[in-house]
Amino acid sequence: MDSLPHRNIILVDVEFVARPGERVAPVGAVFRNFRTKETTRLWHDELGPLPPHSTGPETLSVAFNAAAEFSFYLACGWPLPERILDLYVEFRNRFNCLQTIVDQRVYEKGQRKIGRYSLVGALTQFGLPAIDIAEKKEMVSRINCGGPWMPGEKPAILDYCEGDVIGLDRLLSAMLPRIDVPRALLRGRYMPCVAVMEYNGIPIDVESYGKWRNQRESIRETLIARVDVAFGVYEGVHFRKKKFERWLAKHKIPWPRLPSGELELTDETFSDMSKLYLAISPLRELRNTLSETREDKLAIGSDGRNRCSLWGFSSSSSRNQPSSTEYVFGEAKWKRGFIKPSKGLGLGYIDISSEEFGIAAALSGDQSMVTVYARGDPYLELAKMVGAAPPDATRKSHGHVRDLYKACVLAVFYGMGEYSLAARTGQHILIARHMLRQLRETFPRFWEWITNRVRNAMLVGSTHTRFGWTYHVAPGANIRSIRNFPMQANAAEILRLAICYGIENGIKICGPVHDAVLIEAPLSRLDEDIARMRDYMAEASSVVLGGFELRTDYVAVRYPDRYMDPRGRQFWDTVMSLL
Amino acid sequence: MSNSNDGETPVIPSQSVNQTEGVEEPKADIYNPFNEKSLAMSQADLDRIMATPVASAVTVGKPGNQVFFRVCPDPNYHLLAAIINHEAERGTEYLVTQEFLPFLDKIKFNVQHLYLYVTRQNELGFWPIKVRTDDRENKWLASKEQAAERAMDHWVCVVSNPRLQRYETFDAIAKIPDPDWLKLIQSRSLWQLLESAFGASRLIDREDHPLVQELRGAH
Repeated sequence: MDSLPHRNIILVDVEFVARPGERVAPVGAVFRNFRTKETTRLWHDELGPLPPHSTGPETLSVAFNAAAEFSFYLACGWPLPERILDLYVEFRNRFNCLQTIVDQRVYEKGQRKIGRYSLVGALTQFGLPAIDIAEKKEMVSRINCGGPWMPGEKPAILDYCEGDVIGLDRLLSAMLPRIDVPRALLRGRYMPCVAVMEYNGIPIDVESYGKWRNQRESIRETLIARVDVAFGVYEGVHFRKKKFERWLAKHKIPWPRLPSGELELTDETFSDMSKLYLAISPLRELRNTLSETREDKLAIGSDGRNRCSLWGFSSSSSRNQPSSTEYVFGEAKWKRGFIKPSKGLGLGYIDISSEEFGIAAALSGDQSMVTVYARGDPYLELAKMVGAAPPDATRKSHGHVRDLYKACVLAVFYGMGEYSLAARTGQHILIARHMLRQLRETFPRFWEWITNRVRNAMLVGSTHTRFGWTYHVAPGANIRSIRNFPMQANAAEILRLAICYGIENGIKICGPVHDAVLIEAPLSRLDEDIARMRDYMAEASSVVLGGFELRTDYVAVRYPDRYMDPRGRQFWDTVMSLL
Repeated sequence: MSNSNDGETPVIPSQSVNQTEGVEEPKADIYNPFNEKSLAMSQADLDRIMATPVASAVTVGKPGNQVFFRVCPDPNYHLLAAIINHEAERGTEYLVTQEFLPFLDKIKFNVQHLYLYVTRQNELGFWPIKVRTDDRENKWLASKEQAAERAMDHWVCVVSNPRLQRYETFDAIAKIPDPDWLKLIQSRSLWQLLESAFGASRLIDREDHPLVQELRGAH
């Protein structure tokens, strides 16, 4: 049997209706005792005030992507379990960056593909029986129609749900011997918090958002008309490659091409070429703008709040990975202006300052890095330290130098070479080489440490965060990703822990944003909650980094003001002027 | 489910923060995810060193005109040596061991100072500077010796100036950190470095060395 110390091990699977932006509507749930195999099936009209299992520390709840299960619990008003093992998270951790059997599968034309990290994908990996993927999709779509269901559908849906629980049972047996259970439970602790953030959602100014949606097409046309007069490369809202090629020839501008001979039209190319040929700049701006005003799929519920699955642990660094089109923070920066607290409420946007730099300083123990971080803006302080900026330089007086050194530091974290750095920063190759050397000499301990971490990963085939999130080194692994992993993945650990502290102590967190969180509070309590959340973030960083506290910055937004990302301000003003 | 103050947000029970001060914490339960501090993996384990760098190669010759370098100030890494410059190989240096020196007989050799140096690219090398064997003034050699002396405290590059018949020394204008000699040398003795620089083929320690044989006219 198993060696887990918990009195009960309950496997949970639920079915619900999930409409864009809305809280979930329970349909049914199945619970199975892992040891006794006793099973409880509940239809939505049979749900009581409590789940059919205890939720205290004596009971281990096991689920696959448990945030979904706990969204169901929240909708039912049930208490959330204290001990959670999420097999989705553990499966990801075990196969993170490795090829799975599902990846190697050859599909026939038209055949539905199995998700690598889906329950079916996990069962397939372990050679366990799994439901046919087409059948699963059909059941999900039947459930999502929201009823009313025909008499035979209730048992069919509960059978389907029970099938997943049985699959979960088999998967747990297969995976358990290699799960680092104590740390898995720490990861599981985060999943109810994900459910709570999804439940909370982000307040949206639906009035101005509605206006924007209605006038989006005409605004796009106006913007094109303003810029394209100098280029003549658009037909309606469509960019025409042939016309652009003719424009390039006329202006004698050589342009990078793909091996096929076609023009390279990525934003990176436009960015690089804009630095060489200023005339290109307005066209690049326009293309970005059009991309930022593409079809709008923000998931906004009837209560005016943006909600979508946050997909905790879904990137290789274990960060959250919400949909870039459904989540307001995944969309273009200017759209963050639609975030607005309701009457009597305020928002706090709290982010960890220069987090990657701070983590690198703490973990490597490089005293120069620690000193630079302690002084304030580490990139400006670094520029001062190497003599590229005078001692009295400020971000305002030497912003360009500061940005250059920031680009250089982040490039070093990624293991970028001098040629890429030169291209990225628009500097001469000799300058790029010089800056990289400056960094090596200014932060020698960091250099040694990160080189050692990469070397170890290549030797043993994996590298880990302090709480056991793992990067597996597959053949042909990207060395740059391995090099950046300690910074990125420990940043993810810090944010998760901070969110746990916040939510467990009554802070209303609306959602995570890379290295930041958005919180909501009544105006009378906003400053206090922001201060508490900053303390939790500092404490979380101290726990992950062995006593090293990272700093936070924050922005407080009070009704009737709206949230605004400074990087999106200009475009927000443009759009609003056209509404 | 308990609720936060606004009556809206669900709150999850917390055991990790706001603990009562002065109360001894219970023994860590590894299956309690709220005891996160006891779950962190040791940083020392994550950072343990599993590979050591192989000692880098050492070259012989004057650092290039555009190369900034430093000379090791430790006299234990300077040597007054007997060097044969092989003309057929554009003056390539062969180091004669002290033990074999009495047996060189009529083979011409130069007495040279060998200074250990490191470039900005962390490349180690020995800079051979001939020692004057007569009383004639030789600005080339004197300026080289001066440059080597200065390079013990400053990052310099050394450029020949044919018009002045001497070498000119240029200090780096940037503030560049001193070399970490301990790390660069990696506990190698002078002779280990010399072996690395000259290799077995350019170390003359026996009569049947091919260069000795060639210079005696044996082939």
